[in-house]
Amino acid sequence: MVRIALVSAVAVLTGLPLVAPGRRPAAGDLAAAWTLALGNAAVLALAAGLLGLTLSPAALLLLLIAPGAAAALAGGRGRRRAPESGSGREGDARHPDPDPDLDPDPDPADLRRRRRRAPAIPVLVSRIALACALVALMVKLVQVPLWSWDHFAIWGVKARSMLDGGHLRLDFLRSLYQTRTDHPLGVPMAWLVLTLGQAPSPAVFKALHALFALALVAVTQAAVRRVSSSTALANAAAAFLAVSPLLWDSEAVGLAEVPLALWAMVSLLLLPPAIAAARRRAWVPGLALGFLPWIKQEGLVLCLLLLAAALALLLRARRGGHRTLRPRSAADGALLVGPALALMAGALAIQKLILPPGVSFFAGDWWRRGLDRLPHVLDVQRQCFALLLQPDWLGFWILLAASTLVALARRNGMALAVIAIVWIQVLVYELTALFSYIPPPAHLEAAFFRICGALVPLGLLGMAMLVRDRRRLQKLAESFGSLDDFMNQAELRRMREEP
Amino acid sequence: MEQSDQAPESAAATRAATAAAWLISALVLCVSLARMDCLLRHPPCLTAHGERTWLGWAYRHPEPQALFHRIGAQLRPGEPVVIVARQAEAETYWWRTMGSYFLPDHPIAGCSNLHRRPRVPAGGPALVIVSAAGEVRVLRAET
Repeated sequence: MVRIALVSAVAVLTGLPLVAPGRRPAAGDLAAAWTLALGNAAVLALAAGLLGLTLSPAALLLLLIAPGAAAALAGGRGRRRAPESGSGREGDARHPDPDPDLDPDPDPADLRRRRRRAPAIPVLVSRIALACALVALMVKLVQVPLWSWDHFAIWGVKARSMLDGGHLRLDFLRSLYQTRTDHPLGVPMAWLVLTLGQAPSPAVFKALHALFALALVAVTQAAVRRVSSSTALANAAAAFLAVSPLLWDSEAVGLAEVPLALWAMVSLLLLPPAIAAARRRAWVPGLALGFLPWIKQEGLVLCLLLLAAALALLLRARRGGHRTLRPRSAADGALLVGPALALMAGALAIQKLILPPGVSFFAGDWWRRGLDRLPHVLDVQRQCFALLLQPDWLGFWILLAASTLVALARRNGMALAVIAIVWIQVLVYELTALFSYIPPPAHLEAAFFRICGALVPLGLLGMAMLVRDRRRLQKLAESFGSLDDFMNQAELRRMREEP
Repeated sequence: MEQSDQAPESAAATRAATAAAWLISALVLCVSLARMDCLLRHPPCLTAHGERTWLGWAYRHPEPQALFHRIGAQLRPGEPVVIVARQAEAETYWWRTMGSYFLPDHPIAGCSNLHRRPRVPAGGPALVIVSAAGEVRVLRAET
């Protein structure tokens, strides 16, 4: 455990030059830095291992430090700016909380004054809710046994067996009984980076899960706060995530759903500031996006959807009313897509060329199978609805459906994009069940509920975008000439046109 | 003029965010308190969807780590094993998967029920007999 804590501290330090260069980091930045550094190290470690290099603890530490050190050297040392403040006076529209992100040179006295100010009641209540949810989650994690089948059969067994004396060995995959041999190895390798190559015990797996869960809560809080400018709402959304099935259901302990959600949220958290930064940094969220296919196979679809949405908004906005593509937007797009596609290609190459072929859900004549099952589409749909309407979700999917209608009515492009990604991903899961070699009812019952859990943070972010403050958006736009185009060109245009 | 137009909108957005925060916080507080009560009264409160659906199927034997630790302690390095346990034939998937996880260096050559103990050739795999109470005994054929 001490080892994990020390490696985590190193990961945070080495990730910060990528995530928050020249800025005093907030909790969300620390979590994003930890995540990004871990992902980079896992990719480098897998590459080094496949090349036959020894992955000793020192080598793993070096791979963890290298990307951040390179970024720090390349970026130089900037003056520290303040973190995003979480002490706003919520519920009082007369005193909107100024966002330090918008102010490149905040007055230190003003920052101190804001920090001293007592939080408003909604912020306080949301903090208490968040604390209660996290305490309950941690108490449960301590008490619950590690039992999830896919942990023993797929994810955990790889983390325990793939490093032997510092050497990456994948031959054991062929001897595993009824498992998914071609699933990506990014998450098991990320766990091994944190333990410096030591095979984790069940207790360590639970500790690792707790770390990933806390990081996801922090990143979700930061992302919701960024889009809504409301600390109370951000805390409440993070608290809701903590009581949602993704984190509360112990079936997810030791699996890859929480890491998948974490990397997706980190990429969404890092995207706007990276595009807006004076120095081109779109490659940073590109790295986070590109790690998604290294986590799970559906991460490939999620990565493509997020990339497409980001590019569409970026390029559409850059054109403005002139339909011309500025050189900088093309460069930003290339910087975002380049690392993501390169990492995606790497993940696919490992899956197709190196890992033993697994039993695909699309094995056999999947097209014919799907066509034969078309008369049962309504039954499949009914089963999906029944699973998404379970009380365990606390009404999340009903609220998301209602939010979709609101986003459509308000023509809120960003919110629609994020919410649409969630629904498309759900549809992908449904279609997979329809074409799978496993009968759809059994397929859906086995995994649909669990894998939909990874979409909760994305859905929360999409919903939070519906309550954002337009004045703040305009201030954002004035502060960052590029960010307005990226995030809200259409919306801002409409605001100006409205009387 | 533009500022004054936007001020009410800003106030409305703040009010909406605050109202949403109140509602969600209240919901989370109620849920968390109920769950804390469950955790204290019936630890570890395994009532979530996956736990209701799959726990009994996947978690066949309590404390698998301790069980396989007892087995591993009696085996020679790299020795293959045949598991002899109650309902082991029906639960082959469980024994093989847990064996790969906890004892990766000991391939499981087969699974057999307790009342049908197989004959093992000399120099063959070790018989690992697991009683219903979880006691472990390892038998080897003489060479």
